[in-house]
Amino acid sequence: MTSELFTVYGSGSGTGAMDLQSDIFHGTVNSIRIPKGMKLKVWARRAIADGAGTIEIQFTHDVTAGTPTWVTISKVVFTAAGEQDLTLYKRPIKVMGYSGKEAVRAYVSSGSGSYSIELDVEITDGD
Amino acid sequence: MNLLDKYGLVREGGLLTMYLPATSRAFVFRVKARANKGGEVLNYGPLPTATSDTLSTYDGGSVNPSVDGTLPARAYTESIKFSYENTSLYDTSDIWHVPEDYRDRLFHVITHVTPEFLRVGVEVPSGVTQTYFQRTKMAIGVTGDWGFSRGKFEMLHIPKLGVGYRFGNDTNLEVYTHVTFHYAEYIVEVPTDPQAIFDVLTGGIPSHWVAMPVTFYDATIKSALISTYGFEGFPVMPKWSKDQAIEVYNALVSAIPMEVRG
Repeated sequence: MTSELFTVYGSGSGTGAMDLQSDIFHGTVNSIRIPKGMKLKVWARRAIADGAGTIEIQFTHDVTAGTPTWVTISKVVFTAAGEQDLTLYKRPIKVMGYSGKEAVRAYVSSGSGSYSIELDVEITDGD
Repeated sequence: MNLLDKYGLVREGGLLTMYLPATSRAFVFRVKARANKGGEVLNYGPLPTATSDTLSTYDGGSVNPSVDGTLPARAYTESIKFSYENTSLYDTSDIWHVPEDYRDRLFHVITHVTPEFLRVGVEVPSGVTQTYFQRTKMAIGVTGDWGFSRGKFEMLHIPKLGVGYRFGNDTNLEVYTHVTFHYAEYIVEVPTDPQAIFDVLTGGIPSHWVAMPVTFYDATIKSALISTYGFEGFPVMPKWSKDQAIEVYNALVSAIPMEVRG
């Protein structure tokens, strides 16, 4: 079985896809594309806000489309500054790489402050 | 006792069969000793990519690594050899490359690359594709949709035959890479007892089989086999052809050089 577990980190404010960075890749990306036949699993989500707003984990079936359609599969709502979220998934969020064009991103919306998120992500061909 | 150790390498005294699909022939080796016992892990470091390299991408363009050692998003390498800057080596551009007079040595190499989702494949010899679909109708492999491994590749490196590795990254991440080799430098002999050879090749005697990624029998491969071992391998024959097999093997063993005769 092939498996790579890594942590991505992003921070941002306002509305939009968060720029993510990690020790395993150079620079930043605003989504993670899933190789065909593999799966992306989100095992843990850690987030903090300094104002009301939401952070969503979203996927698309075609990140190469001119305007990809993003679907929310996980959402954390903050109502006040200083709120934190720590979610450890017993069974992870799983997104399949059906065509190799699927991708996952973290999206901030309705933000009145700044937000930080860490995701423990695995790309694997295992169940 | 298991033939293999925790790294997937053959224990001393064990048998290793190198099978060549292109010819349906095989070599049987007995591992007399392991020259690097206890030192099987070689943390090589990043892939030897450089910012000056121009790599093709799965989307039809090309890209340069932003920093040395990364594999850019959607990019794949050409044939890579693993160099090491020590002038004592036979070939500093390829640590697994030795001449035919090293015939008593055989490198069994299990390459691990991180991130594990990277595609891995080999070219034997370097620059020659060995992965095809529908005979040779369509080349596949790291650059295609299938015909590759991810994260790991098992290979036998015989003397005089340079092998190239290719890596591919079908994510959108420019990844930092690391290569770890689990390897054994076997000191080997080739059994000369036709009955024992037959028993190994028909499964009667346990042996670790490595099917070499050789589906196209390039002249370089043939030349390396003959100059190293004196022949092209034992034909793999069915159990019901025992008498014929013994006769064929008996004729072939006379070509095996003295240094590796078992």
